[in-house]
Amino acid sequence: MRGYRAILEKEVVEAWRSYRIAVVCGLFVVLGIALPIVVQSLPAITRVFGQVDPEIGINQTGVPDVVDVLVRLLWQLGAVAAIFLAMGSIATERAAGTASFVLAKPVSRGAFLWAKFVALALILGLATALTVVAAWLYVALLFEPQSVIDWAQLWLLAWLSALVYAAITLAASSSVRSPAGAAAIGFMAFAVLALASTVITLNPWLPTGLAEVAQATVLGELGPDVDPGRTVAASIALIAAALGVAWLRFRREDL
Amino acid sequence: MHELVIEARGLTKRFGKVLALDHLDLEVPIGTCLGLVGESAAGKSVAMRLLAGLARPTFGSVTLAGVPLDSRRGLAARDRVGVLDQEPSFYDWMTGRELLAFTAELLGIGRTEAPARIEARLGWVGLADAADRKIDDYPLSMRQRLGIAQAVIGEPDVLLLDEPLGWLEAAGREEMLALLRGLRQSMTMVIATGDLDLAEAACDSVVVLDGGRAVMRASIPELLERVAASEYVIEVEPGSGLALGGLVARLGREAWVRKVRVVGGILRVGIADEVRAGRELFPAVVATGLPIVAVRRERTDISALVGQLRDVVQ
Repeated sequence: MRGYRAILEKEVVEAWRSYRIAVVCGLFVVLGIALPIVVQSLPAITRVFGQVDPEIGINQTGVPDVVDVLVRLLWQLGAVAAIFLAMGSIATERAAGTASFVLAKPVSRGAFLWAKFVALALILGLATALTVVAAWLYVALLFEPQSVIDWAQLWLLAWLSALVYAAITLAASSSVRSPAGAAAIGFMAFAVLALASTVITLNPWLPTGLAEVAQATVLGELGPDVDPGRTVAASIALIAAALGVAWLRFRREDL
Repeated sequence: MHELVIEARGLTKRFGKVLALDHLDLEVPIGTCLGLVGESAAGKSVAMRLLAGLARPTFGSVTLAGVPLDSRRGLAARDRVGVLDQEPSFYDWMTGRELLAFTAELLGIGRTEAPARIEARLGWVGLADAADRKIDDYPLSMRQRLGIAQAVIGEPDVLLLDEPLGWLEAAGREEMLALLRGLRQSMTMVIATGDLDLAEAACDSVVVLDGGRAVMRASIPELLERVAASEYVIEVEPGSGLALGGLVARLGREAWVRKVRVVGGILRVGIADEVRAGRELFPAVVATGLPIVAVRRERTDISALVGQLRDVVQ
C-alpha cells in the first residue's frame, strides 16, 4: 500500500497541529480524573443539598459505581468523539480538493482510506487509554487498587466500541458530500444501535454489548451468560463491513 | 518506451443528463505537448481529470505508455505523471517545504534524496524565500508556483497541467512560460487552457473542445493560419459614423475579409487572407478619409475561435 505511511504521518501531524488530539485527549483525561472523585464525593454532595432519605439516598459509593458511570460515559463520549473526528475524513478532503492532490500520485484509494482509519484509531486509542489510566489511578487513590489486566481489557473494549462508530462515520464520509451529512449518518447509527441494544437478545452482538462485557470483566462478574468472544467478533465484523462499504464507495468515486 | 505516451479512445463522461465529454480521442506522442483548448465548461478539466485517473470515464479508456490507467499497473504508472489542478488545493497548515516533502514521500523518493530535490524545485519556481511559510499565507500565484513544483518533483515523463498560468501575474506568467518551455525538452505534456498565447508558446498541437466535443485538431501553425487569423483593430476619431458605415459595407463584400464589425466606434476587421489584407486594407481605409487614431492587430481569443469553428460547422 504505497503512500500509506506518508498519509498516516500527515494525518497524525494534522490532528496534532489542529489541536484535535489535545482537545479530545484533554476531555477524556478530565473525564477519567473527575469520575472517581465525583462518585466518591457523591454521598457528601447529596448531604450538602439536604436531608437524604436513607431508603433512596446515597450513603456510600464504591468501585462498582465508578465502573458503572465510567463505562456508560466512555461508551457514549467515545462514540461522539469518533463521529466528530471521522465526519470530515473524506468529505472535507474531497470538497477541498486535497484528495485529488494526493490521489493523482501513485497512491491507492485503499491506502488513503486505511491510513485515515488507522489515524482515527490511534487518536481514539490514546484518548480512551488516558481516560482509563486516569480513572484507574484515581480509583486506586480514592478506593482500592485495581487489576491492571482487567482495566486494560476495559480500555481495549472501549476503544473497539469507538472504532465501530469511527468506521461507520468514515464510510458515511466517503459516500456523502458534506461532513455534516456524514456526522448525521454517524449519529443515526449511534441512535439505531442504542435502540437495538434494548432488545436483550441483540445486545451481545452490538458495540453496546461490549460495555456489559467490560463492566463484568472489571468487576469480576463474567458469567456463563456473557460471551466476550462473540461480542468482540461482532464489533470487529461491523468495523470490517463499514470499511468495506467505505472502500467500495470511494474506489469508484470521481474526484 | 511506448511510442504514444498517452492514448485516449472514445473518452466520454456524463454527469446525470449532462454530457461533459463526448467520445474524445487523443494521442500524445512522446516528447510532444498537446493543448486542450476551449472556453470554460468546454470539457477541458473533465478530460484532464480522466487522464489523471481522478475520475472514471462513463465510456472509453485511457492508456499511459500502453498501460490501461484503471488497472493495477496503471496505478504504478502514475509515478511517471505529474499533475497540476486548475485550482491547486493543498494542505494549508503545511509549509511549502513540508508539502513538497510530503509529495516526495508519496512518490517514494528516498529521504536522503528528497531534501536536495525540494530545494532545487523551490528555487526553480521562485519560492525559496517563502518555503517555510504556511501555505495558508500564500496568494494564488504562489500556490500555482508550488503546484508546478509538486508536479515536477518526481521528475515525471508526463505533465498534465490544467491552466498552469491561470493565477499568475503578468511577470510570473512570463517566468513560468520560460520554465514550461524548459520542461518541454524533457517531458511530454498535456496543457488544458483557454489561453491561445499559452497554447502557441508551449504546445505542438491542439485539440479544440466545445461542449465536450473535439471540434478541431491542428498543429499550432495550422491553428493560427486556418482559424485564429489576426484581427485588425482600427480606431477613428469620434463622429465618423457615416463614413465608417460605408467602409464596413464595402469591406464586407471583400473575399479576403472574414468578418467586419464596429464595436463601440472601433472598426474590427477579421482577416481571411493575410496577403490580400496586407495589400488592400489600408488603402481602402485611407481612401475614405477617416481620421485614424490608432491601428493595431489583435489575436483572436478562444471565444472568437470557438465561435468561428461553430460557424464553420453550421
